[in-house]
Amino acid sequence: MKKGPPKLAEWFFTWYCNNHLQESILGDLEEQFYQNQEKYGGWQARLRYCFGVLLFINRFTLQRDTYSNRINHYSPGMIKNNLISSFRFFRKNKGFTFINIFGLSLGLSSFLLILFFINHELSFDRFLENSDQVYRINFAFQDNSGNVTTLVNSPPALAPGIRGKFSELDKITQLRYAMNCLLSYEDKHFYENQGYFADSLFLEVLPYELLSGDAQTALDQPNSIVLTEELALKYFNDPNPLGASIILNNEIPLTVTGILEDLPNNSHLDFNFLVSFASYEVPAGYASDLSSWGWLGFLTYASLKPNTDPERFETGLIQHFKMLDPNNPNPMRPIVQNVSDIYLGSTGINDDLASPIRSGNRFNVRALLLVSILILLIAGFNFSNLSHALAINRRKVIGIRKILGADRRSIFIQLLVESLVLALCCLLLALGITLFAFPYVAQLMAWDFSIKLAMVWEVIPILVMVGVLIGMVSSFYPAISLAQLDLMKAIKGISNDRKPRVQLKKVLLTLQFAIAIGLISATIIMGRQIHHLRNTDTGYQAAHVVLIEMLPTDMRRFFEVYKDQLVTDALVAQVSRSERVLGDPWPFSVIRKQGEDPAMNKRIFFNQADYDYFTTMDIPISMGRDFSKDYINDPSKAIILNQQAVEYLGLADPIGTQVHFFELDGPRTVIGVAEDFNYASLHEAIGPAAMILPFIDLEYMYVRFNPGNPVEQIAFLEDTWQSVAGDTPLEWRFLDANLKELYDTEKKMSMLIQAFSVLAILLACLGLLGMVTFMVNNRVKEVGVRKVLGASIPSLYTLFIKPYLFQTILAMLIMIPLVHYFLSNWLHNFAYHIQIPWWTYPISAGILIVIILITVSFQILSAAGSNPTSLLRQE
Amino acid sequence: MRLHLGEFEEIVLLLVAVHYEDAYGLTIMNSIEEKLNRKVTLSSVHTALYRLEEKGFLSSEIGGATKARGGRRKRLFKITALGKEALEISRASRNMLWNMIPKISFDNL
Repeated sequence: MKKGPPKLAEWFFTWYCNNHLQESILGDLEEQFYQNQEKYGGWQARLRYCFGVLLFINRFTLQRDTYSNRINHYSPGMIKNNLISSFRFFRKNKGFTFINIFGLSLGLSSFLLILFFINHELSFDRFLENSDQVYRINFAFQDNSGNVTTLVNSPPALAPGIRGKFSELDKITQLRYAMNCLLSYEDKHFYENQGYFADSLFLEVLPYELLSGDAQTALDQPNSIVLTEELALKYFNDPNPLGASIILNNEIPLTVTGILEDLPNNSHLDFNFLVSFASYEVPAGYASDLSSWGWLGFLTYASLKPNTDPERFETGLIQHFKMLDPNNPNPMRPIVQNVSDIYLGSTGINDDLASPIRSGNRFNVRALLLVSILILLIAGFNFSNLSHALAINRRKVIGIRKILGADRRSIFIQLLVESLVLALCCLLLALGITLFAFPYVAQLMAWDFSIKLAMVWEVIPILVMVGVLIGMVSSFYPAISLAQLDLMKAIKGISNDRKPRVQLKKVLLTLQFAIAIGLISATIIMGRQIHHLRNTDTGYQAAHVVLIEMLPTDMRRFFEVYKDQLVTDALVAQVSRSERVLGDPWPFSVIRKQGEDPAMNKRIFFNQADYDYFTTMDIPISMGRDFSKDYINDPSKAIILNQQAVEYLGLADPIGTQVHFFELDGPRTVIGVAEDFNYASLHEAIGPAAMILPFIDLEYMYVRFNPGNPVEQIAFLEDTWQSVAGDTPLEWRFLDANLKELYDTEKKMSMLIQAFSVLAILLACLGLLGMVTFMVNNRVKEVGVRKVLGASIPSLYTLFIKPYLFQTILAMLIMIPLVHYFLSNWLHNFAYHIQIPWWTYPISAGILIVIILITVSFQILSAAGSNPTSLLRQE
Repeated sequence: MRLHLGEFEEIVLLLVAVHYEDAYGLTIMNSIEEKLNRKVTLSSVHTALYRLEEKGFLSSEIGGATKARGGRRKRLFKITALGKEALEISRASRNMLWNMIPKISFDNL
């Protein structure tokens, strides 16, 4: 036998392959070497041997022969044992485990609730099949002072005027809000204000689901009406009354040509009937007609051809409008907005007619998402801290396992899996809690959607991901540290805590406190702001005023008589009417002093208000006089300005000045100046405003009662109406109730934030309770020794409490800039807002401290107060 | 249980069955080179053997040592019932496909 195989190669192999395969592979290689020696000769055999060694590097040869690799982790016996061991642990620590699960489930379920809400908010209008291609055309325009206003409205000439003129454009349609209408069928009359006049292409551009009737033709003929199923049932008791006849405003018979499926609650348009556009007549007294390119009173929707560029379309439209008005440096500018963006993307863009368009608030959605994530974080931190603390109790068990041969990896995996299973249990529990609590929450928040299976389906993946993430992340650190346990120390019961680990818990706790303080501060600030809104002097008196809404034609017929009858009674103080009700935004026009060039036109808001309006609403006229029937020229020649308008126009001596208002009119004389009042909601600042006597039929009537019994007052109202107008229905509301609705969104947000703060505090305390109990139990010997050495109870108490107090202060400091930033943003939604009081932050911290003290004192005091010998005996 | 076999794995498995009580890395490799006229490396044969064992088609045990191996013992492989089943399935499916070929397909080839 000649020389053996190359020693170097052999040594190299034994180095990298150090397991049970080493022997047989080396044996084979050597045998092969000798064979090759015979076949190819010495140095070739050596070469092949070396190559062979190199080629043998693979996962089989590289794997260490650990116990773990040699046992089957997934055998039934192993799994059963792990389960048993986990259950034993849970049973021994029932209290903590319960707190842990409860806390996480609560956090998860509030997260889930918000997730459902956000899912709903983001889903608006996507049910329309062509939602990618449908756009609404909004308009922005600028006045000479640089104020830009954006409206959702468009001029009536737009839709018919650009058909076929743009290559991107497929179909275009328009709507006119039908405002308050009376629909009658046999003995059923009701005021309906959720309808539009829609032209023949509407149902093709926006393909709402038609239950019967043909989308292409239903709105072609004049005097056709399409109803939703709900409305059809209301009037006809028949879900499909095609062909039936229903009367509009006591005058016009309409034929039912289609029945729509009730619109889903995630549609931005919220109508329940459509009348064919051909039936629309511009009411008497309006200054423009349907051929106008400037009258922004309609809604225009366009569907573009697939794969076309909406921006090009918009540019084309902008050009078109520039050409229509070449001398104007700031012509009306069309803005093309995709329909699925409308709900959340329309803040700052108003509907001049306040038609039933649902509008959401992207900021709110984001804020809620943020808050819910914060709550989840708190819950997650809790879970983590508690798992971590509990891990200490398992040291002995883990120690024994290691003695029996478990390696680090299997212990780690077992702990991780256990934590995951726990987290998943929490997920299920959370789902249950959410489904149970949802109806109550939805009612509280006035959310008008319900959880459907489809929503659950979409949301579940996120939830599972979050749950798994929390389970894994929170147990990662304890699992690792346990797995790397020093065996001897574990058995002896000595903690092998190293400094870094303790600090992590502190950080998490501080963060929890921070979040809780942040939420408490937010609640305080929002609460104060809403209180402020309620108590701000709006410049008028809304109490005791009843708002009546009626058809313009009825107003024309009955108002004077009705008013006369009402005013003579002692119950009534004054009666008047106006075009816009307080709280709704006012339309605007242009105004300039007489003698100035039209280029000096300034934008001004205005309202058409009848005689006695100012007295009815209790708005003082500070200079000059109110409108009066004694002056026959008042309707066409008089105008009353508010204080702001006077300053805006720079009128030193306003009474008697002539102004040009409404280009088409002749000049008007300023006869009086009213003190500024908030005609719109407190979201907006008071702008320059003017009031003139009405030139069109109005809809809103106000009756101011002297303070008295509302029941009696309403009865009087209705009886008098009946004697004047027969059985025409009367629609009345209390004005202050109406006004309260303006701040609905804010109130709801505030409530939600309040609920979240409570939740955050609850969770933080839960976690804190767990941790303190834990810590106290573990430091029991220390307490005993201190007591023996003479420590008093108060000093022990201080000793344990101090770190928490310190953390709270730290948390407060962290939160101050954050809260300030977010809440300032929110407050700026309102033209009238409070400044954030400096004491908000200390008080929030204070509240938290008090709650912490309550939570924690009992535990600490009981340990501090016990007999030292019993403490020291514990083993 | 996936009873699918790769082509190389199938060959190795068959040869283990052929070599009855003498199936280990080197003998299999030599057989492949001689009988099938294919060049294979020892490591690829070993890897295939370990994979087959992982899948449950083979079982192994430590066997005799010889001087030619420097006194080292060898690892002998035996086919299991599962392995036999896998081979049979493979063979049956090949046969079935062969039987399905119409005469005309191979005409003139």
